[in-house]
Amino acid sequence: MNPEKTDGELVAEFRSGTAAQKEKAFAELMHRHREPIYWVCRRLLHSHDDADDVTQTVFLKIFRALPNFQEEAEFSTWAYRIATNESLNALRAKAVRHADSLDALETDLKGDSARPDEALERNEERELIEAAIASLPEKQRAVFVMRYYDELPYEEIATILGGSVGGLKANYFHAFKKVSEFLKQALKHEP
Amino acid sequence: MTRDDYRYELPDFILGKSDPETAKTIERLIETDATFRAEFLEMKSLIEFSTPKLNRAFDAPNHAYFESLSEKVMAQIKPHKKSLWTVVKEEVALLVEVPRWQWAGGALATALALALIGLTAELDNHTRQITLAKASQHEEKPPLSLIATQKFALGITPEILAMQLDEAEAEAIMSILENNAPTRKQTYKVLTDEEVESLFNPM
Repeated sequence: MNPEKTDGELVAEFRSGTAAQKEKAFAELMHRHREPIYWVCRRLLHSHDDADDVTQTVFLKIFRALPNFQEEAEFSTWAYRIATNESLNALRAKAVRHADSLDALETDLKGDSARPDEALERNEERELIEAAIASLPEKQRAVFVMRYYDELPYEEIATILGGSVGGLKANYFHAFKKVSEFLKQALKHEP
Repeated sequence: MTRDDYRYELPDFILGKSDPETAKTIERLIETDATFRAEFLEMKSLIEFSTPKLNRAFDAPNHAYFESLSEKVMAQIKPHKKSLWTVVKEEVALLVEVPRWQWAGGALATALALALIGLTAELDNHTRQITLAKASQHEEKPPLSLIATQKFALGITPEILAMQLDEAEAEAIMSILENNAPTRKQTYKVLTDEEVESLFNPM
């Protein structure tokens, strides 16, 4: 389906085409970007079900906002920004609901090993790693996910999240250090 | 770039993502700056420990999930544009979801309705057959014979001796016969004078 068309051409087709062309263009854009968008949401939100809900919301927002998309940035960057904002909003709502502190890492690193121990008791390394990432402050988590997993350049992350490249590098450095120390400390107690 | 800027570059440097110029500067700092080298070694140790685990962090959904994701989004975008097949599937699914006791009630009501219709038709048929039989009975009834007339006449006047009747009495009897003959079609036989005479004089 439209393999030769760029994202920009599909966006133009969406804006000026008939209802059927609009639908087809959007379906193609979604087909191209659904996996990266899902993974942004998934890595920020931890849970597949939450990521599924938010990814759907993201694409619905994209559909509604596409007529006003200014093309100052690439479509993918713009979509990433919507996905990140939606995920962070969902994360905040979830944190409020479950009193799930976003900076619980500090507590863990000060010797309260209940959380890593619980994870070890479950003996599920994957859950432990997801918990380590989930424990980061939201900005660090977003930068870590985008840089480590999605390998986005800092300039694009800055477009999505705002802030300077230097500040984002600092966030990435601290996030990487915290996640690694979290894992090391947790796995040190492994029986 | 400051020393701190290079320090923040360490994760990218260790993972081989720094640009060549930055990488050279960091290599030089590692060689010349003991504090920087200690930070590098600490970060390198952490990253080498955590990277293999981080790469196994998330279990991926299968490809079918992403197809269904697209379908779900498109369905929300155009909820009014369902295909006929989709509508049929949804309706069937809805019917299947109805509890079984409702199905049993519906089936019972249908059976009762059919039985009522069948009984009505049977009763109507029975009534029609009776009516037809009666009609045919009348139609097939033969005209009155002389003997029947005589018997009838004797039946209604057993005490009268036909031979003793005068002409006026005979006419009265004939009148009774005309008015009370056992047929709706008045198909009795009109007696001739000879027959009347033989009636009154049987011997």
